[in-house]
Amino acid sequence: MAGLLALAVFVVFNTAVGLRLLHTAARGGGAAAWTCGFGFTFIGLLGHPLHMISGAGALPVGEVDHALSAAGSVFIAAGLSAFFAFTLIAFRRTQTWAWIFTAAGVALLFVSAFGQIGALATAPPEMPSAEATRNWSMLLGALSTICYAWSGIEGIAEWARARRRTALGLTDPLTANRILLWGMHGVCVTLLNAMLMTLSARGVNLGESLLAQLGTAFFSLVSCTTITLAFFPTRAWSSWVRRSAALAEA
Amino acid sequence: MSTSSAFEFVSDQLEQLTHFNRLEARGTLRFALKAAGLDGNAVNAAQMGVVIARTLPQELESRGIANAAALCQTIARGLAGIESGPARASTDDVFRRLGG
Repeated sequence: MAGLLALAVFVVFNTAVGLRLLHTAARGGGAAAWTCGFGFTFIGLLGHPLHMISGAGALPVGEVDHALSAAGSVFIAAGLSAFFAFTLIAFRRTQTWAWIFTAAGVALLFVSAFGQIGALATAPPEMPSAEATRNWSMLLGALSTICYAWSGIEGIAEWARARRRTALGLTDPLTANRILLWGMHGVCVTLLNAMLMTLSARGVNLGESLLAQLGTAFFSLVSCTTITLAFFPTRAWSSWVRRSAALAEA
Repeated sequence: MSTSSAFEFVSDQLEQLTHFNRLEARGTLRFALKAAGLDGNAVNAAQMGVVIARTLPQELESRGIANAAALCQTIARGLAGIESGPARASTDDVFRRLGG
């Protein structure tokens, strides 16, 4: 139940933030806003809900809605690809290794998505769908972890530099705080992915595990809070950030 | 990877006005930029002005340059003629625009 509630919260917040960023992008927010907006929208509004509704991972292969599951897999791969592209654009756009890393990540994401679709299509109807797609799901989970870990590491490292710029008056405190919140979001989702992959590899049924449910609820809520404060900062939050920066400078 | 015109200007000045060789001048400037949370590839003239005023003097003094403050003022005056626009969109620009 806690896991379902967390998923609902995840869908609502990711969708709201994604649509807000797409709106920003349409008003000239640039490639970063497009990629980040598509990342949240594809994963939160489409990928995870479609996957869940299809029954993939929970029902036997014969009872899964293959079209919905396929759409869910492709949207999740597209969303994670968008986040790879966002990290590249925001933090490493001039570095060749980052372009190669992103291209490899995107290619492998779509290999894993189509691998899942193929595995479901060819598995016997009575086989549990989670078992049929286990290896491809593990690959997707690993790629997702790498994607968010990269985003989190870059965000936290850039925040450390942004703090120094803020102290010299070169960066707006709210922008520095947004970078920190973005990094925290990346770290949070990385920990969630790592926890779920570890439990899954140990053969734990994620739907019945209390640890998985509570962990999902905790990390989802924290990550939703960070992206909401980053992209929908309330007046009180903005004032607090500016006041804290002024106090630190004094 | 190419550095910005502001970086090139200041490192050339350091090389001419101190006993530093090219490597020492660029290395010292990179330390000053790092202390300010900036990097030589993206720093613009306005940001470099702050670095020259706030972090470069300390870096120069720690490397035995006696007249660091006066030297920095000389470099800052020359920097006024350097194009002030950013060498490329910085991470700050990206995240500022994401705020809507």
